[in-house]
Amino acid sequence: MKLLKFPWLVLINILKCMDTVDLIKLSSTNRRLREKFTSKINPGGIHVDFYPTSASIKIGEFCISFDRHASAYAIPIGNQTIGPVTINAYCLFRNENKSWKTVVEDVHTPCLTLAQYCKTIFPKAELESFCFITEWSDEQYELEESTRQLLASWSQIFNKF
Amino acid sequence: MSVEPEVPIVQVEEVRENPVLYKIISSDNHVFTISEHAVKLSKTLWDLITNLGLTAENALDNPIPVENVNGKNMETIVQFCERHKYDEEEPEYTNYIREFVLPEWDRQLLSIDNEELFQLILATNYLDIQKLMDYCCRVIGDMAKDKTPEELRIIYGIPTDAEDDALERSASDSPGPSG
Repeated sequence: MKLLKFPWLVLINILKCMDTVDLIKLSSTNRRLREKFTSKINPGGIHVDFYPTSASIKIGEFCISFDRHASAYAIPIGNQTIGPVTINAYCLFRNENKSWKTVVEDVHTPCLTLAQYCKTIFPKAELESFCFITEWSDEQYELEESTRQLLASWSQIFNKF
Repeated sequence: MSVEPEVPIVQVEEVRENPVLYKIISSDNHVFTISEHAVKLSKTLWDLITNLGLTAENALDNPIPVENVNGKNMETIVQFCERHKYDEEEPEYTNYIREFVLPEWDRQLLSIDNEELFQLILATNYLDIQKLMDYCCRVIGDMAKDKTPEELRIIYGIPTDAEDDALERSASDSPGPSG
């Protein structure tokens, strides 16, 4: 099967039937596919949450949580490359592939990198919320310099923060 | 004591058993019979029937030639339309990713090899059958589940950017009709 041989409208229809995570992976396979087709899809709003020891991004129905702490209930699904980010992923709910978690030290940079990537490949997707909590109980934290720079560049692009 | 109404009650099933039938001829000259309710799922065929002025009386005497669809695909399409002819109309989809479950009967019907599925989609697109198009697209979309980008490239026959560029270059280098 040659996906790119389908008429434009049919291919758009196919992409609209895909899960967001598959769409993100598919968009990384070919520039033409990304520019002419996946960029026309709106998988739903983007939500980014930053906490002191975790960060999460939700796009459409798909959510990835970056956490410093492991969870006993998560099911390992191995290394996953999603856009510019490769993670050792865990699935949070059995029989569905829409909520992932990964345990990493720097939780904010990959989350923001992925958010930026999603906004680039899905220009129609709105950044619907950005929650940034710098205090957690009595614990405070500061962003790493690399994350600060990424955040600064991102805010210039989207003028949101 | 209740009074029974004297209005005759027509059972829905009775109506269903006496449908208006139309004949369709595929590109390879196979003849199919399809009911009016089923043929209405195809906007192209229904427009054709309306424009030709076919009625219950003359429908079977005037087969409709469909030159872009072969017998194999037409058989699948007729089966699908007959199966879904009494389905309720579905609401318009939003711009977002579509969430719907493909019924098992339809999944079985569409369990065909990729090339056949490709041809069926082109036929469905030509005949403008939205529901079958959605179901075919769901089957193709589901092939992406749990795959890596490299696996997706193989399943969907997606060239690399370098291959795309090479194709583009060779197309621009080749002489045009006058050259």
